[in-house]
Amino acid sequence: MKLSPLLALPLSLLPFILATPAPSGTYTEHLALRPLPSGALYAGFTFTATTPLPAYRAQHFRLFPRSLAQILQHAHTEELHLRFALGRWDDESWGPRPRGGNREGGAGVEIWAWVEGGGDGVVEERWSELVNSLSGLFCASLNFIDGTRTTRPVLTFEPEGTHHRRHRQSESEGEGGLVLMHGTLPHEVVCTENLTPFLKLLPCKGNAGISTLLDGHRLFDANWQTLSIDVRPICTPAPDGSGEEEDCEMEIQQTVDLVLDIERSTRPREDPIPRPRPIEEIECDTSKAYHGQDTCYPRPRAGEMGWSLAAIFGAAVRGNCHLSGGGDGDTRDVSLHLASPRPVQVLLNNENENENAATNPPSPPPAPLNANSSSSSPSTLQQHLYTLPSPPGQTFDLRLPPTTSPPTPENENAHPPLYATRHITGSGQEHGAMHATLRNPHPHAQRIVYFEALPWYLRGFMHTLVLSYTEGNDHEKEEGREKEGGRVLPVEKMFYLPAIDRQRGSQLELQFVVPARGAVALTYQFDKAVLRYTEYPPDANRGFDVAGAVIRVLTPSSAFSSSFAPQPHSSSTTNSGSNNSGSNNNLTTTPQAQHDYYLRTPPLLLPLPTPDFSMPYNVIILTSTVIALGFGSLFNLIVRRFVLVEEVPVSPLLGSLRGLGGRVRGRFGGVVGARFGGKGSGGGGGEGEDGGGDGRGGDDGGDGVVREAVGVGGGSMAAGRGPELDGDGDGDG
Amino acid sequence: MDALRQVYHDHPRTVLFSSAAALRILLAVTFPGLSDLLTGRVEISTPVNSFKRLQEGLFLYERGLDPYDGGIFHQAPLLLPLFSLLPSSLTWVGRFASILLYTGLDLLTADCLYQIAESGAAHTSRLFSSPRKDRTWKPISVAAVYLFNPFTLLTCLGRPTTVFTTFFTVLSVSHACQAQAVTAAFALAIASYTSLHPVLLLPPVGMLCYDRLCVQIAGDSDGLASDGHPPDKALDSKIATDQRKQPTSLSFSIQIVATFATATAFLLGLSRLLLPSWQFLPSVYMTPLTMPDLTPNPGLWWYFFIEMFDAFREFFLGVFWLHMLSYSVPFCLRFQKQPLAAVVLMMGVVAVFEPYANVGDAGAWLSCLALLSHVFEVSSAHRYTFPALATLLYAALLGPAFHHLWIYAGSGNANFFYAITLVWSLALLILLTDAVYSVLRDEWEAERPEGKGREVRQI
Repeated sequence: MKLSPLLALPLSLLPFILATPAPSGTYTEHLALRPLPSGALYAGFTFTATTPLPAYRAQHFRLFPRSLAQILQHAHTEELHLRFALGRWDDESWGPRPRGGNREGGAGVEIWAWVEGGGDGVVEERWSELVNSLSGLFCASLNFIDGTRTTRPVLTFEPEGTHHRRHRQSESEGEGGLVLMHGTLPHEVVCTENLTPFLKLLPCKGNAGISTLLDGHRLFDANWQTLSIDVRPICTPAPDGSGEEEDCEMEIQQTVDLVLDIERSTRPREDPIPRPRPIEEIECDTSKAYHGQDTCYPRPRAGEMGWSLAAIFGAAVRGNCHLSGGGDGDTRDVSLHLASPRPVQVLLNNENENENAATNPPSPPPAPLNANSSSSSPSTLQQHLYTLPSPPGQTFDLRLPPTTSPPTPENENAHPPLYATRHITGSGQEHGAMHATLRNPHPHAQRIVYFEALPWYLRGFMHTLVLSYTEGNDHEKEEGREKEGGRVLPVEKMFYLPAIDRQRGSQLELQFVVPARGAVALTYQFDKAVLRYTEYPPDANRGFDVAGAVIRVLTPSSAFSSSFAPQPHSSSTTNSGSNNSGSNNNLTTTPQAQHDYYLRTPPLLLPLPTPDFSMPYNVIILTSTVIALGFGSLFNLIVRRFVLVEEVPVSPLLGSLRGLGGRVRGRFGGVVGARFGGKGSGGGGGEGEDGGGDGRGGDDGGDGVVREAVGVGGGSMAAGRGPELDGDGDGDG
Repeated sequence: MDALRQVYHDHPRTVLFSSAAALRILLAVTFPGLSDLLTGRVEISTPVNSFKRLQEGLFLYERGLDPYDGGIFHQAPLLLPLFSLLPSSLTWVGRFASILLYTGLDLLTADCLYQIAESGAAHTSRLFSSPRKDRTWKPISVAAVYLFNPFTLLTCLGRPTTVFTTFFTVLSVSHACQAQAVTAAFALAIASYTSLHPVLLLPPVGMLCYDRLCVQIAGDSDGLASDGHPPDKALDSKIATDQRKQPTSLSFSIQIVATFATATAFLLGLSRLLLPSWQFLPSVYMTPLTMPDLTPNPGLWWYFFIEMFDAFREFFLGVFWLHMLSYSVPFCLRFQKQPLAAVVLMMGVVAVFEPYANVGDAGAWLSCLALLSHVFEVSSAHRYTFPALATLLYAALLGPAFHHLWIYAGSGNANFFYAITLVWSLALLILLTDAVYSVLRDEWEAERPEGKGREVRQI
């Protein structure tokens, strides 16, 4: 009984083994390094694994992570994009985003997927299965992506994979049509517990190759970082041009993009706290007028900081992860982009073989490179390519000594296609307004899609939506003119789905053109809802996170394709199996989609009015009292009738009680009256005075006691005061 | 000056109405930002009547979307085509046009109140005639109280859609006073269609209409001018003799309920023609029932249901609604002799206890209280009217201040505003109780003239 499946397994696999060629899937990994201005370093890790689609369907995995694949198959998900992000990409100083923003997520967790639909409610159910399973897999709160956080964008996202015959039916959501679902969790804090499952999906599990650099302590210390997972099917058309698609593969691409502060990362581990350096080590700027014997103005750093992989990531790269078999010599694992020529040392196995990359290349020659890079990047940019050493256990390190010459100034092309900021304006916790500014630094107009998924407790008023356009690129000018109110810009397309309380968030998609060298301000007003007291998080007065806007720049000209966007090794490698994003784009259903530039604004913090959380019982009691008062007095008037006071009939029970009371009063009243009455008549005023005197004496005595008690209780501290107070009390007495 | 006085003497209504309209327009013109400011105030605009939300619904409606497929707009569908005729209220012209519309509504309401007061239904009915009926205010004063009530004035500028409800309610009462059952039921159906709670007024309005009908028939058969002031004795004798001529109360109530139901069904069907789906029904009528939107208002519900434990929410919603329902029939039974008093007092119950309470409803009720002006003497002599009015003033002044402290300054918390809404509701309740007392006392003194001015007990 147990044997039969065991026997059946190889038999069932046989056809696939026979059908597919020997290497069932490929795996490549790549690390791109690029120093950025102001002492930052960009590091982009790319891990790409593929598996043939038949093997994927038959659950036959070698390089593709089984845990993720089974979840995707169970939830009927054809294409998945998952992002864990932290921090903010600094457009102004770092330039365009890596990979054209295509592997970037809004802060927190962002997920979107194309799920196979099949009638009413099926998509929602599958989506819920997907996010709940992924929540378990990645230790993230993805299960909180419910109906209120799920949207279905229309214009913003295009599938990256090949979904022949199906994905355009998503609007009809008919049988088998693919439906795009999108959800964000802006409040989620991405941390080590998300990285560990991420690394486990890799074939080398972070034990060999460039993934050995991914240490949680360094990764989450970054100024900006994104972990992304993208799963998509890819089909290459048959070579004979018959139109039939074959050679379909599932590809999983995992990327880690981060920007590290070199100074903070290279801080010694034994002394991680930033301290002021001793004055002798600081170089003073003697040109300042206030420089003197006792004052020192530190001179700004002239050149770029020196760094090495080991210093920044805590350890050098250990071993390699060349699993694809064949074509090993062609893979380039590490690439380094430098804006200006700079000596680079490669350290293998801790032997200090100082090799300048330009003169004495390491094992694979890093030469071919300027030819590649010149097409996509400025001519001054230098590119070095390295392959990790083959023997396992050998370490690989790059070291760049500090330079003294100032870094080359930014060139014009470093402008990203669009600058975007988004704020909440207005004061108070009742009304507010959203204000997004999109600035086009280029001399040509750009068509963009602006997408926002808003929580239901932010009630936007779309009739107040205004797109106003101001010319000029200067910030000051722009702000000055906004106050005057610029020209109103038309919206080309608008998709808006209003929110329903506690059921659905609102979704806004706008398509419009940002004119050349101009800024567009998008504003609309909203109301802040008051929630039930159980719906507030424990830190209610912090406010609620609102996911950032996703902006898709639709038609960028080729001049702005980011220097990061095409994978550096995609053009140099000849391995047909390593399908990188660059080479596959032409095969997707919408070829231009991949080239679109995406950017996301940082999330916003929305303060909502809060009730008093300690009051539920008090409120219930007080409100009920008022209502009961009204109810009682109204019905009291309604059900009873008026009579004159004299006519009020005496009820028999009341009468007997009164009689009893009268008798008691008569008996006791006589006795008491005799005693007190006699004394009262005899004593008169004297007694009253006595009483008063007694009272005062008693008061004073009491006071004295209390004060003494205080003196004693205070111990030595109050000892000095005690007698004095006592004396007061005595004097009064 | 004399000429002015002469004009006022000759055409008091014209002078009054034109001055009220001029005041509203003047306010809107001199302070252009005032109306939008008032639209944003929680005391005036609630989720079910806010003018801003109406604009949002209009925006969706004009673009062919279902405005009820969302959580913002909960107002009656037929308002949409009406307001889409006006220019956009974001412009100066649109704002002015909306102010003009609401001013017109206010004037019409005041005119209805004038007619109600003129009909004398307040102090004279089929079974009863008040001994204090000579103390009734002049109809022009009642209309003036409505038009120059500061709450009504602010509401007119804030433009909530409950002004429509008020107008149709008062219109229905005015038709009922003229014994026009069909139009009264139709107007009440429109009022209930725009917001749910005027349904509660159906029994008292029906009773009022029946009462006036009987009076009219009696008056006609007696050969008297049916001006609403038939001599008491003649009336009494006629009632005794002409019982047969009157319509039976059962058939009359069936008639009025049927008219009401037909009119409501007609309005809902008309709305369905305008909209793509029936989704407006839960959106418009379930919202006041379940109170999903807990925006603060001067009523008793919002903070109660913010702080309510989830397990008991449905229970207390049921209790609160049953509580409101529980007044309608007892009032009808007790105020059988004075049906207009039943209507006015029921309006008061609604204004105090409705889920999305607002100042406009309270102000309209306070103005309608002037219809019962003949009994003010009783309440001011025996009850707490002055403290209640002082408290009302106190709450009206401190309410916005406390709201500011909570929402804007951050130096107070929600309890500040909650406390002031409690005080506001308490003051309204005391006024309501006083009104009930005086009406009942007046009725009792008609039977027992010797009890006038003496101390009484209730047993």
